Amino acid sequence: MYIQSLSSSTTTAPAQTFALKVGGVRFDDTIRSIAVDADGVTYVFGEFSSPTMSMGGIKLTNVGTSNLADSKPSTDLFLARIGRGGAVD
Amino acid sequence: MQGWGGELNEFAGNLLTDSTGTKLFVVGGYESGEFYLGSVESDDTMVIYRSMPWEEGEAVGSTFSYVEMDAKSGEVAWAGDYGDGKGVAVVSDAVQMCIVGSYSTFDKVGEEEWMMFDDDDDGRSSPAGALPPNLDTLLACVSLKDDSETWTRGFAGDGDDVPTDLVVEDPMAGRGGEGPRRCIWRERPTAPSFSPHWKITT
Repeated sequence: MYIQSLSSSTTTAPAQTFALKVGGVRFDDTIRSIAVDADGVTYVFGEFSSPTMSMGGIKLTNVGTSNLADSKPSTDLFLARIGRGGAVD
Repeated sequence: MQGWGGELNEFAGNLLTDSTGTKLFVVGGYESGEFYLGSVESDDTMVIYRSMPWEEGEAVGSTFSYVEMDAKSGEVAWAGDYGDGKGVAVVSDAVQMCIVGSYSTFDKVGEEEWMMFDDDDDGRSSPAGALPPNLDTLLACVSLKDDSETWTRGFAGDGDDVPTDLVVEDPMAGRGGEGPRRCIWRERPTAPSFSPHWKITT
C-alpha cells in the first residue's frame, strides 16, 4: 500500500508533494485512519500482520505469534507521523 | 513511527488531532494478554495493558483502548480501556472526548461491574446462552481534564453491534447558538442482510 500527498488548489491541477510505500509482504497490512493537522502534518494508524513492515526507512517487527488455524501471523499496530515533505519520524 | 502490539491480534480504530495540532487521540482494540503501547521493540515500554478473559478459563476477550498523546513527541499522556471497538471523536478540545466502540464482556470490565447494559436483566449483554456473547455498542464521554468518565451509554440488540465511525456535531452550530451535541455513528454490517446505517443519540 502507499500514501500519496497531493497539493490542493482551486486554480491549478493537483501536484504530488510526496509518496510513501507502506507495509510488508502480506497483502492484508492495512491503513485504518489518516488525519492531517492544521500544520499539514499527517498521522497514520494501521495494522500489519507481516513479519516486518516499513515506512519512510523505519522498520517495525511484528511481535505476535502465528494463529495456528491459518498460519497467519497475529496483527500489530503502527502509528506514524509524516511531516509536510514526507519525512517519517 | 511507533509499533504497538502483543502476542495476539490488535486492531486499529481511528485517530484524530485536535484543532491546535498538539494532541493526538487514538483508539483501537487488543486481544493480547499483554498489550504494549509505545514501542514493541523498546525495553522502555510506556504502558502495558492486560485484557480480561470474558469468562474464567475461557478465551481472552478483546479490549478497547483510547489514548491521548502528545502529537509531536508521541508520548502517551493518558490511556484507558473499555470493551472492544472502534471510533473516537473529540467533542471539545478542552473539555471532553467522545468515543464509541463495542464490547462483549457481560459481567465486568477491569474491576468495574458492567451490568448497566443488560437488556433483559439476566446479567448478560447478549441473549442468554449465547456463547460467546454478542457484541454490543458502547458510547462514552471522557473528560480531557482529569480522564474521568463523564457518562456512558450502551446500545444492544440480538446480534453483533459494531460501530465503525463516530461524528459529533452541534445542530445549532452556525445558527446563532450552541445546542446539545449529537453523536452519530455507523455500524459495520455483520450479516448478509444487514444494511449499514447511522444511529443518532443526543
